[in-house]
Amino acid sequence: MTATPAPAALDADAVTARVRAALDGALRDVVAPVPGRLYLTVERAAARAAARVLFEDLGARYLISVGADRRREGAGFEVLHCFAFDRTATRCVLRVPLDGERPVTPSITPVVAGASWAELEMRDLLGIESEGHPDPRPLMLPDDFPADVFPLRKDVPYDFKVGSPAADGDAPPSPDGRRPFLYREPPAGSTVVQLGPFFPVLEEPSQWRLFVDGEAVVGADYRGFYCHRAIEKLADSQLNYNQVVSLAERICGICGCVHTASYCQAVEEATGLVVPLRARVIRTLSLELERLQSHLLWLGLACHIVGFDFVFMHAWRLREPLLRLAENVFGARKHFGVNLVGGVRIDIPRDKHAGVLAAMAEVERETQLLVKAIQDDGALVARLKGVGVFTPEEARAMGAVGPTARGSGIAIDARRDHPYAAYDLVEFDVVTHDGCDVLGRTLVRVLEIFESVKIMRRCVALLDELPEGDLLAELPEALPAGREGLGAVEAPRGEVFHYVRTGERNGPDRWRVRAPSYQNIQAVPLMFKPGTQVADVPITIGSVDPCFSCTERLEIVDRAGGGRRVLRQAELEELSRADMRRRRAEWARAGGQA
Amino acid sequence: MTPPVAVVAVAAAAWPGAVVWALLGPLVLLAVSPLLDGVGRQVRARLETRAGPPLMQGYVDLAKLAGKREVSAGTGRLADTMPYVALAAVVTAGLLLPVGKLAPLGFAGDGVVFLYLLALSSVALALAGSASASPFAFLGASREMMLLFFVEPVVACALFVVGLKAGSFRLLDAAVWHGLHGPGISGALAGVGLLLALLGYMGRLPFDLPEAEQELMGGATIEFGGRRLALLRWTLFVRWLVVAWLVAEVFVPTPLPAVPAVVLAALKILAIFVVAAAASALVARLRIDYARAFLTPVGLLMVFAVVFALIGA
Repeated sequence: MTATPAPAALDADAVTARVRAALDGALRDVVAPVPGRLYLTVERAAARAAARVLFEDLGARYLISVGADRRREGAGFEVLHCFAFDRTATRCVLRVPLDGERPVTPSITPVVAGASWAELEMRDLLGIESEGHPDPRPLMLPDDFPADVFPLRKDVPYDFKVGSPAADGDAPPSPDGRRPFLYREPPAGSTVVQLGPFFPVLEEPSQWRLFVDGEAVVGADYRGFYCHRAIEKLADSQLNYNQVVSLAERICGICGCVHTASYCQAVEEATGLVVPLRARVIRTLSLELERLQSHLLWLGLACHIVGFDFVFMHAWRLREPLLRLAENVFGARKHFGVNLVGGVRIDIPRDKHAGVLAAMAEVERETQLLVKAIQDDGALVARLKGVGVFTPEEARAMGAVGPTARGSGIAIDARRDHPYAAYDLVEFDVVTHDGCDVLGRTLVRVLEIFESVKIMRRCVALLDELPEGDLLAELPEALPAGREGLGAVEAPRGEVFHYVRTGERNGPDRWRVRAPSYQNIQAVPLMFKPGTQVADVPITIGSVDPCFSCTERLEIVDRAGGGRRVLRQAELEELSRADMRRRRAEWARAGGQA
Repeated sequence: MTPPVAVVAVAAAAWPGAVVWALLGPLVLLAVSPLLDGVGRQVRARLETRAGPPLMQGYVDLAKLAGKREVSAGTGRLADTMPYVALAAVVTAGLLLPVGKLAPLGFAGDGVVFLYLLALSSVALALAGSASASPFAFLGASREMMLLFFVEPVVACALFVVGLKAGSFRLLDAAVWHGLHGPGISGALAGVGLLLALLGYMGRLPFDLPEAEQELMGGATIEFGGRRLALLRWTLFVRWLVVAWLVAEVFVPTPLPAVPAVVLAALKILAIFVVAAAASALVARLRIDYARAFLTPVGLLMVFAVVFALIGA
């Protein structure tokens, strides 16, 4: 583990100076398109050294690494390692240009442990090798995906199908080129307990292989990425800017707004659109409403995991008025559909303000009761305290964000550190807890509910003052191509980060989504400290509030022969019933015997 | 373990009642116990502001499971037979319990037999679980055994306390003696300790560890389905009834004539069960080592109870 340097208060110029001094000529280009954004182009060979300067010497926080195929522009491939300086609201991108024929880059995972998945993802999807990666196992693609097809490359069509030559273009099928997933060998003397891919308390598929000795966990292995949906590929190749908003909303079933907001912010930054103030306030309100319902949802699930269904039921009952409020204000309980590039499409007129305030009063009052029920329950507190220990050093190394980091005493919050929407106009506290355990993460989330209520009230007051209307910036006919933007939103689970590079067809050329769970799930195996019991595993996993669908937003999976068809709900139900009838008939033919 | 002479003597003294109860008792226990499931789920639902399932849900569940196809997932003969042993053991234990001043099948030392029959039921469940290849079932089975090791001595102590004071290890004698002389310090301590420890026997939160769905999916019963799962669930239902009955009639006895005694016993059992169900709805599941830590002071309580019983308090 690297020691935590004191977070430096360095602005873009100071960062540039320090990197230039350390790299000795390997820094080729410096671009700072807008205040708080810094793009440093470095020689391939100096990539790891540059990452070390930013991460270790200057104390930057790691965000994500983005791979991009720019061969059509004659620029080969490129890798973008993104970092943040939270005290100066600066985001710094290390751009590493690579060869178009054989893209190889030095791995930065030995320096930044949290870059592991991002580098493996670049290898699986773009064929960009990271030299020196400590654990180069396959990560994302299904076992039977051909080894020589890199789906995010621009020459692979979005509707690529294995084994169908018509759609393949220049990518021939290769039935032998498979890449089976390699599971880690359990330590000697331990047995493997497999949680998942389907397990009762994990609502989404993910596989945790626990190496146990009796009830004690001595190690763990993870396999995820069961839910690929080709989202990034679709956006990069087929959709225009505002169509992507609809897609981004559906990355996650719980927090759609955070993705639309950060995507829109990234495009707005790239193209210089200025969002009207009223729209920014409405974005703030929608994001906080989403956080409230998400935290209550999580609280219920977490209590269900430890068998405390009393709080589970009450937390979800309390969530209901929030969903009704959302339906009243935005017309939908989930997927508010409020954001567009350049602003919002739904106003919140004065006659709806009372409803918002009433819901806030109810949530505040009842949450206080829930907090009391939790804090007074010695058994529950004992159950959560000291479980899933996650040190601040580990949190920094893995790039953990949100309540997962704040529960370990790291006061990062994009709302305060990199203000967006109208967060510079509202007052709130960044809740942290020094417990570094599941209890700490729980209390951070619960107390954040009160902060969100505060922000919601302030938003209503702001909406009262501002004139109605004026929600959307005027969009030009076509947005300029080749510009880059970074958007980030503090989602309920932590900072969502979007990178957008604008394209020629009035849609993004590259759109990379980094959900908070992408970093937080990578950190979970570190939370299984010696002495962890099997009983602690589900709540430890649950304590980062993992969102597997956010994490697994990309990739094309069209297995051989699998035709593409959109089924309506009735058809799906009919399919399911037909299957049941078939099974019944088979059973009857077998004489009703097992 | 019991001199056959005593059994014969008791049976000879009241054999018509014994025969009737031996035939009728199992049916009563099996018929009444699923009702407790409905009651427990209603209590829980009301506390969680839900409507909850109807009171008859326990019966419906059993009927549904019994009608399902048996699916065998690598389980052997142990898994086939143990559910019957588990259910039979707990039903037999229930037959020994007194009601008011009646215990048609009671005999000298039936308290000891009762204790071992309850344990046998747990062991049978654990064996059934460990017969499958699933690691979850194995963990569930080992938890069941571990809980048994901690709960068993407590139950033994409690029965020892009442037996010591009544001068007999016959449950009816203990009940009658209690009814006449009141529980005293030792009896009260033993009763409280027993109730706490028996939450484990009852298989309810915070002690339903062997079946912690969130950690081990179905625990020891994970590989079971259909009729055998129905038997295991029924075992659990009867266990709730028997344990609540033990506390109600041996530690809070009401020596009344037969009919009012039965009515009162039913009410007491219901009250005890409702309290246990409500308590379980309001606490989180304990981890197995916390469960052990929880039971240690209970053990201490029982030691005090025994000491008090020895000095006659």
